Amino acid sequence: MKKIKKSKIQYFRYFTLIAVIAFFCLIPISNWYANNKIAFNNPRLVGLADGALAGYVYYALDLFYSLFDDPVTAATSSSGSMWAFSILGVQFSDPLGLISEVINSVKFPIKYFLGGIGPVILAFTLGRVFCSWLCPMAFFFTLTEKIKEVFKKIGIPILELKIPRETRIFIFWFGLIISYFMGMWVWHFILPYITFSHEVFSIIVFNTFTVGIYYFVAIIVLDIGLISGEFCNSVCPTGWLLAQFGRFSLFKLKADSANCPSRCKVCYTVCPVDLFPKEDILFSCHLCYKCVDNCPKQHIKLDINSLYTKKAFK
Amino acid sequence: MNRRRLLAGIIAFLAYIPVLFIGLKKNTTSSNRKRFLRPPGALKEDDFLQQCIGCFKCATACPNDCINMASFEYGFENVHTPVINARAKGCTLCMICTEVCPTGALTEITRDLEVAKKEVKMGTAYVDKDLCFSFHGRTCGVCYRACPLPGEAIKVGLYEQPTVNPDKCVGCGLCEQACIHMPQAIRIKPA
Repeated sequence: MKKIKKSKIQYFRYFTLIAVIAFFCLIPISNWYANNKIAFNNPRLVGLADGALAGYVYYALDLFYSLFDDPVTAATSSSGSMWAFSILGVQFSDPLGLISEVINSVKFPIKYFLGGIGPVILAFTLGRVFCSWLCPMAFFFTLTEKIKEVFKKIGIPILELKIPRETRIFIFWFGLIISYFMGMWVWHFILPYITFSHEVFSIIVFNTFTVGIYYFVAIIVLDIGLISGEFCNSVCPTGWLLAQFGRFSLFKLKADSANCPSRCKVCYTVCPVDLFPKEDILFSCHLCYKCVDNCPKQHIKLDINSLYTKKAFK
Repeated sequence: MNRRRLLAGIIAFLAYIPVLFIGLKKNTTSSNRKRFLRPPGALKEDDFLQQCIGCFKCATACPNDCINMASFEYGFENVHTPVINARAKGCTLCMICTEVCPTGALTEITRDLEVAKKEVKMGTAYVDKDLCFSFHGRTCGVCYRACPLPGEAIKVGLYEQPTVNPDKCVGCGLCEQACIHMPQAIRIKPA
């Protein structure tokens, strides 16, 4: 198998993933800061209440947030876990959570519904871009791949199991029905990125993990036993839902397949979604750009979806 | 198995689905199982469980740190829903949690004591006269001093003996937090 090249865009992708994780760690910390600002307004008192480290963290955050006119509103303007976070007062919500909530709700959740507009527009322009650029699990699964490489070097056999692709559709309906009867927490133990952000919140706000940590660790261990990217491709229902939007996405990666060497299969071997950019229609592509980096002739480009070009209308 | 029997089986299963839905729905809509306090402005317990998505917003926003997110210890349906343990910390009725709630599981209430009197009904306090110090000759009156509606929700008589007016009590839990008797002589009954 060919070694995967890493260009600048891959490093940029890892940087965005780490930035997303750091952002979701910063949200509860800044909320904690705001509460202590109201209660104590003094790093020494915070240090006495929560320990010396908390005092230093408070002091650092206070230096940053005192640049704003009103530190408390500035710190609380971003809040919420990945289900329903708001950045600078603007609400965003998970598309899958939105569908489930609208079915479950007694009262129509207007704020949450409007929050779904942003992510759905993103899905209709760039398809499954969430899966490899914003989802924190994309970062953790690259770490598990590093673990797998180490295992291979040492000589520990890896199972490399496969899961049928239809599993995620089954899990989607399963989650919708079960969450209707048992509450939305069911999704917290299906979608690992939600679990992760809840654990971050829990450890910072309550100084303890919730039960979700077992699920999170189980997913990481499970992923070592699977083929790379199998969890995202076959289990995660959000990936499936975004792929359905992705059929109609405005921009898509496109290969200039007429000029390709007939036997070249580099893009297929590199692709984490098992697609063949040379031939397939890429509706479940999540724009990780690995094929673009590895294409020996630079034939793959981001282009307007062939649904919307003039040829389609003729 | 012949084809007709399979078909009959499928039809029977499909006919069973609505029964399943109605039955399960009935089981989950009894309000008697509410055993703990919810944040102010919460919908009725069964509606609340349908509406709440468990996003941790109210718990992180609470300046008093009184809202906890439940785990499995409160039962399966209440996982990752907000819960107030009044003995540890009562609600100060600041209403910030109702502002941040994205789904309307907590209905928005303006931060005003007069509005809170009408809108908020988290529970009702009741006094255990066998335990209360004031009913045993030692004047105490701590619950009266802690109450945000003194003289209305809790009235004190001779030797500061508290009596709760259940119509006016909002169930914030500050009296239960403040009670100096161990175990607490005044408790909030969730409603």
